[in-house]
Amino acid sequence: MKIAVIGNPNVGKSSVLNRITGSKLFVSNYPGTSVEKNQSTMKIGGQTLNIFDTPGIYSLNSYGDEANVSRSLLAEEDIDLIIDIIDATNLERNLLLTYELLELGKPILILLNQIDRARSMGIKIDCKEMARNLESPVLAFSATTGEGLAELLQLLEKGINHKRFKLEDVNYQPTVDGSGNEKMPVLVLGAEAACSGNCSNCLTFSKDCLSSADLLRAEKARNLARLVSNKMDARQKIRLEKIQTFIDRPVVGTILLLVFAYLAFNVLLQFIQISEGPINILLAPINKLIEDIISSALPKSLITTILTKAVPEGLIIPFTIIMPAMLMVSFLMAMLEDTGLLPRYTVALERLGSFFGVSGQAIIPLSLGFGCRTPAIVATRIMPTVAQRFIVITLLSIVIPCAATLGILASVISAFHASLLVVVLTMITALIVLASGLSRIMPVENEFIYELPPLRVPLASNVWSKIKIRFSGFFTEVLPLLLAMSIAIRALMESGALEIFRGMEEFTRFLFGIPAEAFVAVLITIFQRYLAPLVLMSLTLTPREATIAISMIALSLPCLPMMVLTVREMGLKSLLKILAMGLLTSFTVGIVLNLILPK
Amino acid sequence: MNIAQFEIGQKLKVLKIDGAERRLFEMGIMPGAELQLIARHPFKGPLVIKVGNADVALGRSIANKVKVEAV
Repeated sequence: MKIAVIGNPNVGKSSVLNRITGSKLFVSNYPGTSVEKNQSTMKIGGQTLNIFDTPGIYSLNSYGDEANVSRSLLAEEDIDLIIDIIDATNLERNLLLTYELLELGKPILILLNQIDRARSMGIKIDCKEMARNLESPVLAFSATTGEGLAELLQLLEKGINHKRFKLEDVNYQPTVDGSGNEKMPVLVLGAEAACSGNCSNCLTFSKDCLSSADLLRAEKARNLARLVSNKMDARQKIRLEKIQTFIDRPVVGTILLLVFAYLAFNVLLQFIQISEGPINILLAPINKLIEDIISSALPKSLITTILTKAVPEGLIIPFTIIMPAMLMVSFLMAMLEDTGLLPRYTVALERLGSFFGVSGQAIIPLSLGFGCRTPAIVATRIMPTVAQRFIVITLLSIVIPCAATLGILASVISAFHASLLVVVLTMITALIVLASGLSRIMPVENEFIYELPPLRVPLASNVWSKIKIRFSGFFTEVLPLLLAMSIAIRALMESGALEIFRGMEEFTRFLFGIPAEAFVAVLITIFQRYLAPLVLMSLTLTPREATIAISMIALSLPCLPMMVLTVREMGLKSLLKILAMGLLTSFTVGIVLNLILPK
Repeated sequence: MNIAQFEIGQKLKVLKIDGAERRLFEMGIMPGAELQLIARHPFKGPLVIKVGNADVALGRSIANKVKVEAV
């Protein structure tokens, strides 16, 4: 039996599914990510159930990937049962989707989730009356307490006794919506229709379509909600609600959120620093062992040299620097989601983000980037659209310096008495130019509507399973790729390909005002950031030359792990675009600084 | 009138929506709906309103499409 689980965002679909299947497989989807079908199989009383999770949607006819996924799931897979999960505290709005689902003619089981929360808010719902009205079973449920689970499993085992929901015989008149288009509603999914209100098949569908069928469903939803729910006197606000009211205040709340963010950020940095030492110590003998094995197994040659250096490099960096950061960032992001704080950050930072041409949420991954940029790339999944993700990842790759980079920059700047002021100003200018330039090319949706779910105390087990899921991909996908790239880069460097640039003294001096040696150093650190101190320190540079070289290094390409992750998250084409922009930025910075800095 | 022009805590009723904004409709913001203004962020920042039992944050430009009156 194939079951599709559908419902509004924030109703607790994933928690319900984890309750039903007794597993911890389901995790909330972020909008804008490659939304995949999430499915699980379980056996009940001899029957095998294939359960498909879907991203939260407000309507089947919404504009966007999430609704597309749900619609194609219903069309392509032969779904036997739809489980519609409703937030019992927001009946009227949730019923809009319910009425759309009912019109599909498939058996539906309705779960009134968060019934415990509704009860504590003084809301009482007549499930029997609701079931009678909708001609489908309605179960009061709570994923947190487990209420309703037994009845649900019983129902699933027995099979749903389904009476086909009768479409009302109504004469729909053509109506004119705000844009002047005529719309005549036809309700059944799959029926051919042009401008019929059947949005799923409409070719001119846009986000502004609203037909009288929608308005009719909204009216039915309103009437049913009024009929079956009853609000008694609201009881005393619990502590969490008082905190929420406080945080939602514009000025005070924003300050509080920023303080939290600052503290969380410090925890991240500390964690990275503390864990680096022990991991290094643990890995050192293993690295030596690998080197010895390779050199004794293979004959002395170029390839051996490449491998003996690249393999430890490909392993040390991910483990010492990236992995602790990944772990901590996964933890922080899981907490942000599960507490309900994430959308509040979006709201608080919206103005700041729009200054840079990005959504308020962009501030979060950009800030994380100052700690370590590889997990920051993973954090960009919270961005609402792919275009915005790309902008933020580009900014992370080219402009934002991670803690390691900051350390390197600081030591090199002081060693050569380069101008800190110029470097910092250059970076800020580059950030503003890139951000506004990119958002002009890829216009950002600046009208937003966000539901703010109630604040809640996160479940430790949920947070842990999110961390595990987000983290496991690291070992299976990132590590092998990283190793391969380390070997490739090492091969490039050992082959002496970069040596050609040594002879281009006049060229580099003319363009960038730096000696060819320094330019080679810039190129090397572009590929291997961690070599910067070694390479640059061996040169003699004037402060002016050093300032230019350092600025070119600071604004260039992402490190290898970032490149790997960018390919994984956005594809190779996106990485190539970013690399091109990075090189362009770096060279432009060098040329411009050479022109404007006094000799 | 626009939502932003009211006092915090004011209960409002939607008169009409300028243009057809489906996302407003999906959130339950449509003619006849009851709202309450919860917060207004400075510098023309987002508005937070209560629709039913849910809190919804609206960007200023989309919020200004919702015409309301006091209840």
